[in-house]
Amino acid sequence: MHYWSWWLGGLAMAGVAIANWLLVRRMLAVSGRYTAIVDRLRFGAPPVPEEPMSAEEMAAAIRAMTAATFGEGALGSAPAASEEPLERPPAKAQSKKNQPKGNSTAQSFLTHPLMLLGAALGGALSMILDGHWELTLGLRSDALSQIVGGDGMRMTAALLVGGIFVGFGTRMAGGCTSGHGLCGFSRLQAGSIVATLAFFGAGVATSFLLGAL
Amino acid sequence: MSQAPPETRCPHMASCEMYDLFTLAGTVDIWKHNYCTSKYDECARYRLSSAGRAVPVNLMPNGNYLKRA
Repeated sequence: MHYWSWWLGGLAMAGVAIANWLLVRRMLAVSGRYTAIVDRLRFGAPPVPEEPMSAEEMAAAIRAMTAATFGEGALGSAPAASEEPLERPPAKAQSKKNQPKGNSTAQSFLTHPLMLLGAALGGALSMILDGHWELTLGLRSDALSQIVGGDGMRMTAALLVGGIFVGFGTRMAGGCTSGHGLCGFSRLQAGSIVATLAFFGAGVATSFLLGAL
Repeated sequence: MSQAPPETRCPHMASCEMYDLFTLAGTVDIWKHNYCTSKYDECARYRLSSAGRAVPVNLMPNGNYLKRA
């Protein structure tokens, strides 16, 4: 397998992350794109944001929806007194500190599949330009090939299982190597530094393990 | 009215903005009875929250969105 020079690959990835921020004002996130697609399939399209309503307007809207859903009979004549009061902290206004950082602009859903398509096309393009492009279902990893075989079903199955683990890991960590490793680490975010150390620590350990098998 | 058994009470009640609004709206206990203290696993707000997603303020338990009356 022929790879780009490490420094050239690093510069290219940094360039993509910086360009992404400059162009769309968003942190680069690859696993987040998958999450957005899955969420769309699972929860449907997000609603068009409503105009902010006061508490009284919300209460009136609730009564209207209650009547529309359950009938006028569902609206009692007296305020409900059947529920015991809940012990809860007072509602907090969202402070600037608690607001999401970084990704401040809304974006079309189409950007998610386009981003993933672009990643695949970019990888193919780099191989074509390098003169090593070849369609394969395997991973050109000598160590993994020695264990599971070169380009057959076992390699494909190994990649599928690995991909599932990656999916679990990135969801648990709230990001992947692009979000935590490139963007979070460079912004000295403590969680991203820990996550990146875990990613690469596990990667190095796995590499040594496969090499030893 | 007796309190619902703990296992049928939505664990997100204490933090649910809509639960507060049900109280404010006064006479719409039917939402609480149908969702908060019974089939809360069918509540659209509970499902979103359990999935770690942001819950829109105007999302009702049945999945519809509140509009100005």
